[in-house]
Amino acid sequence: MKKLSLSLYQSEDIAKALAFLERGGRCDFILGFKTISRLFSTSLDEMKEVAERLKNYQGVRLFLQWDVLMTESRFQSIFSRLKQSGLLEGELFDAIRVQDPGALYALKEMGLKKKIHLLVEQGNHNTTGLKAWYNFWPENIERMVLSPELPSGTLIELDEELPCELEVLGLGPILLFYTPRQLVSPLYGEAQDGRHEVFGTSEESPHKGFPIIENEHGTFMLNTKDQFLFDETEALKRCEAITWRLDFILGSAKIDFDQFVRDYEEGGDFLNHKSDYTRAVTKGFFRVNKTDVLFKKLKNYRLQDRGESYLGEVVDVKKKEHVALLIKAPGRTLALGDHVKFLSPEGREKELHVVAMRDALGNALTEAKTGEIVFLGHIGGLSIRTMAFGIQK
Amino acid sequence: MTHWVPELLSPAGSLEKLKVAVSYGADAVYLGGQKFGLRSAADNFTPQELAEGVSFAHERGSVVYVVLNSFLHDKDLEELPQFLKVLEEFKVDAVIVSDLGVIETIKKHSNLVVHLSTQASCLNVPGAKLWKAQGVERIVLGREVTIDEARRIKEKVDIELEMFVHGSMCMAYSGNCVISNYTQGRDSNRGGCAHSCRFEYSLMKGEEKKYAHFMSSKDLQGIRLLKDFIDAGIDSLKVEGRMKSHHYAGTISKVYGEALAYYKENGHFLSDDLAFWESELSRVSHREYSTGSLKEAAGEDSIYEERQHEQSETQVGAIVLESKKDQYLLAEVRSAFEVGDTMELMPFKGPGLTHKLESIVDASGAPVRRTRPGMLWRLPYMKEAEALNIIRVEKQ
Repeated sequence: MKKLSLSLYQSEDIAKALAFLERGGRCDFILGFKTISRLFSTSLDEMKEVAERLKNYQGVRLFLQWDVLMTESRFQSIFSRLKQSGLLEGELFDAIRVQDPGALYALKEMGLKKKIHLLVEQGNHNTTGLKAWYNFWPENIERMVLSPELPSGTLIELDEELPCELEVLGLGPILLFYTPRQLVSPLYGEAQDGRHEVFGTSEESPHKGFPIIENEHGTFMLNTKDQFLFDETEALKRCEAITWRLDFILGSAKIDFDQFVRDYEEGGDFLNHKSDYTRAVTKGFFRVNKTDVLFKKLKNYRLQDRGESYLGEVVDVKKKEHVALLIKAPGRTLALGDHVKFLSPEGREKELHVVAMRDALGNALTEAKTGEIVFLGHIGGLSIRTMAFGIQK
Repeated sequence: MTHWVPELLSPAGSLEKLKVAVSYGADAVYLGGQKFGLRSAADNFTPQELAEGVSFAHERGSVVYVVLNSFLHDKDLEELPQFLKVLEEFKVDAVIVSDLGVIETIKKHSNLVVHLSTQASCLNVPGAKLWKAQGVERIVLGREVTIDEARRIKEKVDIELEMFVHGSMCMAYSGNCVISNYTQGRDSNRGGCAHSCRFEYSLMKGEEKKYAHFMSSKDLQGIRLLKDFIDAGIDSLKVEGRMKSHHYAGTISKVYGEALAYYKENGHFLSDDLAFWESELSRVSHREYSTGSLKEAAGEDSIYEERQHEQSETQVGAIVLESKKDQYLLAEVRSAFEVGDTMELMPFKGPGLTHKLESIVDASGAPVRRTRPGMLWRLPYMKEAEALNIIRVEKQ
């Protein structure tokens, strides 16, 4: 059975978590406070109080989320406050969770004794890179928090390859965008509690109602559908290193947390929980990630396939008069008697035996070098950007 | 006595743009091969073009960096070592990388110099120390870093630093935006960004709805901050824009190149010159300019709230393709113009040559009243003109 880690963003969820523990339930908790955490809205003192209450229950592990990205000035200020808070020492937290490589380096440099959960959710998609991150500090990196863009096949491979715990978003919003700029308050004014929540829709996108949160750390856009993978647990059944994370960033979890964990532990049916969930859900890229297959449609690959025989490009076509060819390939010449094959952007192929060519003033040429434009007789079906290749006959 | 200035690093979206940028004054260019970069829709370079581009740049004293800044999946990474061999063979000067897996692969299979891409969002001193420990020789700092913060990083970490000085900007922390991935099925961090941040959105808060281009950033323009970059010891100033036009590549390279050359010679800038360069930069296609986060964290005035299209005070009329000594010039028309408009040929160095178009002839000498994009235009020979010169046109 995989471990569960639950992020406690809302006070309502904190109350539910305490009730859950009181009834004997156990899981790990992720806590944060607004100075160092992107989306947690609790103050340092409030968070400490909650952490101390949770820590009273035996077997509960607490992780501190330090996931803001920081330019140098903010980094110095935040790191200084974090050190003063005492949270980096003591028994309250079992691990610190960081994304900013600067935070990771600074914690190592100060000789932190606690474990690290490294957030590699953004753009770390290959085994080589993930191993290198782990090897940066193998004594302390206990867990890597993986990208939701990784499909199950890759997760299974990583489970075998990486010597640490792995964490996957099992249930919760998918972060699409993070900027340090405040983008909502210019429209709605400053929020009284320092936090705006709006829903954005663009006519240029088929997706409606992106949740957008602005706070002191900037602006965050979330996907219109939350990730829900608990009906896919079978796929990762053998992956012992994988932990599921539950995030309830957008308001309190409406699901019965007690029942949810019980069903999870007993292999129960998650369909009820899915229908109880208040937001639309998706499996994201869990089954497959094909986000590179459309690239070949972004440009005309006929115009890319140049080889050794490439001569140049048609730069002008005047019907019944000429085709103008710019010799572009370095060190190439075109001479009378040569054979040329043309390949148009539309895929049309034409061949020409060069028996006459001239310059723009009509002077006859016997040869043209790189950088020169020659005028050949008109050839139907060719257009500008047609490529020309020298061929042997 | 000459004064130290940073390298000017311009975008090269194609072989021709590389030649344009280098000829107009770029000390360095960056480009993408057919894979592993972040501009899948750009022309990008075939191996033959890459070889020619490196050779062209090196012959003129410029250097070439190749972007390998996609976040790669395992199957992509398998294909990388073969491409690294090609880059080494062609004597590419460095590669620009954002993924630690790519850095590891480069270290294992080549001796290429590694620059860290802005995609990795390196923002602070300990971050720079970490990347240096991974073998990176230069860091392209995140666009959120101010020049003053960069100076502090430079003072504390012995590593080359590069900062953006001009061009379009991501609104998100680079590498931290996956809108395209989830909404268009195109991985923005493997070259498929759909620019969703440039869309207009309706924002609902309760029952209140407002329309805005709220996620769109103004363009960066740092000509008046060159002295600050120099004083901070920033090693390289980068211009964004591999997808942009020849006009853009040429004009930006010429303006910043001339400015840095002037400082190198004189150790100061003149306010009249800065005003002139600023006016030149306003003539290329751009969104409204701002200084982004170069002076202080970008605020409300850095949001481009207007329409998505870019502004340009001047059209690029044509590009010279052939200069036949003492006979004629042949130029490819890029945007339509007509008799009565004023053309300005931009030589690679020195001021533009302006004159009013009293007649226009096509390639075969037939007079035309109005040109059309794509046609060849024959002009009288000018000794200052060379192939790849840009001809700007002011409408009458």
